[in-house]
Amino acid sequence: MNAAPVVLVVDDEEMVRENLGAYLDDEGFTVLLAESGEQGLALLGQRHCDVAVVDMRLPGINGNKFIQEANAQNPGLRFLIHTGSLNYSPPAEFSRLGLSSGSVFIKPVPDMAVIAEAIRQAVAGAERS
Amino acid sequence: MPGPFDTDEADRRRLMGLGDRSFKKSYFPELRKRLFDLERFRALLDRAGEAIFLCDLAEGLILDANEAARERLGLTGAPGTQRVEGSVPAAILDVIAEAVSGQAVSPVRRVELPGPAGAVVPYEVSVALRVFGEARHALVVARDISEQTAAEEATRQAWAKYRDIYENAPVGIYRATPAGRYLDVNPRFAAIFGYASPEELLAAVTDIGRQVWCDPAGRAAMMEILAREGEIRDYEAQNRRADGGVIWISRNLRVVRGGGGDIEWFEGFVTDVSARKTAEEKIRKTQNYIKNIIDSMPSVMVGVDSEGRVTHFNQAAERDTGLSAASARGRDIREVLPDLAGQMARVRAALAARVPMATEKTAVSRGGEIRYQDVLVYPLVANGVEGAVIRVDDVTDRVRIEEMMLQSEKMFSLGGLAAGMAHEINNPLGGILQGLQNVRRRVALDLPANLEAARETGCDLAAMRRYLERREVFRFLDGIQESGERAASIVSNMLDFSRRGEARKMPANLVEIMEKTIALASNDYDLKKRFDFRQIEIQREFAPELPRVACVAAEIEQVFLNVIKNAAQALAERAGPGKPRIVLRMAKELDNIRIEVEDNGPGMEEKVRKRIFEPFFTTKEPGVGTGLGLSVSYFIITQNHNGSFTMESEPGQGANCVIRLPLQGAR
Repeated sequence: MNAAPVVLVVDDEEMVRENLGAYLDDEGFTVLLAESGEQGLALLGQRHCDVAVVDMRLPGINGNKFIQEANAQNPGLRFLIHTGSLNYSPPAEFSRLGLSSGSVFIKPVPDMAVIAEAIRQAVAGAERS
Repeated sequence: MPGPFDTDEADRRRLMGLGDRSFKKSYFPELRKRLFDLERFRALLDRAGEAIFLCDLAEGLILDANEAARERLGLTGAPGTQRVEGSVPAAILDVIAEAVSGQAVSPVRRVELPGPAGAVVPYEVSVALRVFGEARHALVVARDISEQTAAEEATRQAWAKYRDIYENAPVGIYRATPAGRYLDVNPRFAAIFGYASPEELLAAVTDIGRQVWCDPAGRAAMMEILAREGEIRDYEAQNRRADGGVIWISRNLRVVRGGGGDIEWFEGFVTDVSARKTAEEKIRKTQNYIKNIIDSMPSVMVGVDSEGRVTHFNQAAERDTGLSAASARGRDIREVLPDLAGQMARVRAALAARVPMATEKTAVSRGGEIRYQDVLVYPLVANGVEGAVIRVDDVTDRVRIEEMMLQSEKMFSLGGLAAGMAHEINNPLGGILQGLQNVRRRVALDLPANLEAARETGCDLAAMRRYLERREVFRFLDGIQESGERAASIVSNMLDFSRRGEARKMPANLVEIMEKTIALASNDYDLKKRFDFRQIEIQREFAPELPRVACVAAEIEQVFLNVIKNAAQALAERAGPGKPRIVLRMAKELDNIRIEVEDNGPGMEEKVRKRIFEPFFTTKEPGVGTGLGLSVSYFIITQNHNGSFTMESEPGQGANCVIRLPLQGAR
């Protein structure tokens, strides 16, 4: 029996953060919320986390920087990207983190089920590896 | 004049030298007859104009002298008494001496004798020697030739004068036979034809047609006219000089006919008009050159006088108006270029003020199509020339390109703006749409957390749902969702402008893309909502074996879909009879594939057509489309594919989208 996967949502847009958190909570995940990369890293230092859903444009360090640092801190962490920039594509070195174009969700995502599904797959992938 | 018998009796007696008494009594008819003869002869001598006298050379006496001799030479002594020596002028004595020393009859000698008042009078003197019995007599006849000499002098002077004209005339004068020989030419004539003298020319030229005329047939033609008309004026032809050089000769000739009516010769003047001809040729060439320049200009060029009447009309003007230059000349400019009628006041002002006038991008209608013209009026300010040159340029293409560039600029700036805005808008949109999803989920009956919360709060979830349905709250939620999604698609479309052809172009079959698009369109939700796409007759006119075009297939598909949707939406507004129809055409041009999407919808006004590619410009009711479809398509074609995209339309005439994709780069 596994405990509920822990998901960290890093987003400075409160409504997005809260809504995604609420949805994922409803879906049975344990949700951590951070409004900046720095806050997210601090949370990761305190709590176990399986998947981070990261916005790109953030105050302070940006999403890419957060992913690099979070990975350094917690190599088992998986990432999904949830951004408002349509033309975002992840840097090539992120592919070793399991990041692909399928891991990028462009806001708005009217049906958050797709994100929930991606989180489950990421968790499953992390358990297999 | 009195006859010999009229003389009185005393005279007769005296002449006979007879004693009057004895003679009176005698009557000898024979003698009397002889006396009359003698008398008559005497009278004849006296009345002759010449001075005649007879001298006895041996005695040295003048035997007889007629009246003229008495009066003019002063031989007035009684017959046989006056001595030759001392009374006969020395010049005559010389002639007598010549006769005596030589032949019996001297040649006629011209001598000058003193006349009255010291004048010198010319005489012709002849001497005849006779022997009467033993005596040698000289009969001298001296004729006053002063009148004859004067006449001769006058003739000589006249002749010299004419000869002088002939010799020194600045024109060539000549006579020639129809057969082709010169009879006489003056020095100038010889000089014109390059000969040192008339003699040299006459010796050298034996066949004028062959030797002198560049084209012998030309001489034959001239002779024909001469024979018919009798004369010829300013007849110009090319002739050859002695050195072979070609000169232009102008002839003024008349024929001289013999008794039988045949032409004996013709005569007249020639002038060398080579210099004039060369100048004329130069002028002609220059005029041609200038005309060529003006005709080669793509601009319509029309010269007008101060009254606005056409004086010049170039080829472009002929093409543009369908009028020939000849028929346009002299007509009012407003008749010839009716487009200008509205500007006549300004043209006149430009003429009056002698200041050039320019109007740019004047819209005119050409066979239903709107064209743009630049009109320039240059007043002519050269001396003595009144009027103006009007230049009309069709700048439609330039105006259209400017329109497009403006369009592109707008889109670029929109693209930049959109990229910056997208994040900011998408975040709140995420908040709206995701919040909506949470609202729905948390009033759902199947979420365990909901049931638990309901029980804790004592809420009847099913009753609440019925309430929300009754109050149409779910419908409003649907509305929020639809609006949010539309806003999201607008942002997404706007971001299309910021993608500058980043995607890789691959050779693609445009017909396949088009067919795929048609299939997509027939299932398009937006279209279905308002219009059954399947009611539209789709007519395909695709040229066979079109080459592939390097493009981003997904983008081209997006363009085709936008254009077809646009046409379908236009057809939805259509009220006229007949089936709604979209004609799809594809054909190869020189460097392009030309794609047309033509509908028989209501068409559009010029002012709508000009703005059709502007972002957010739409003629549709709010909520139909984003107002970006055509501008995104325009951007994709012009910026990402270096193609062109134009809309041709007239109200009531449908619309035709024309897309050109360059073939360059295609494999």
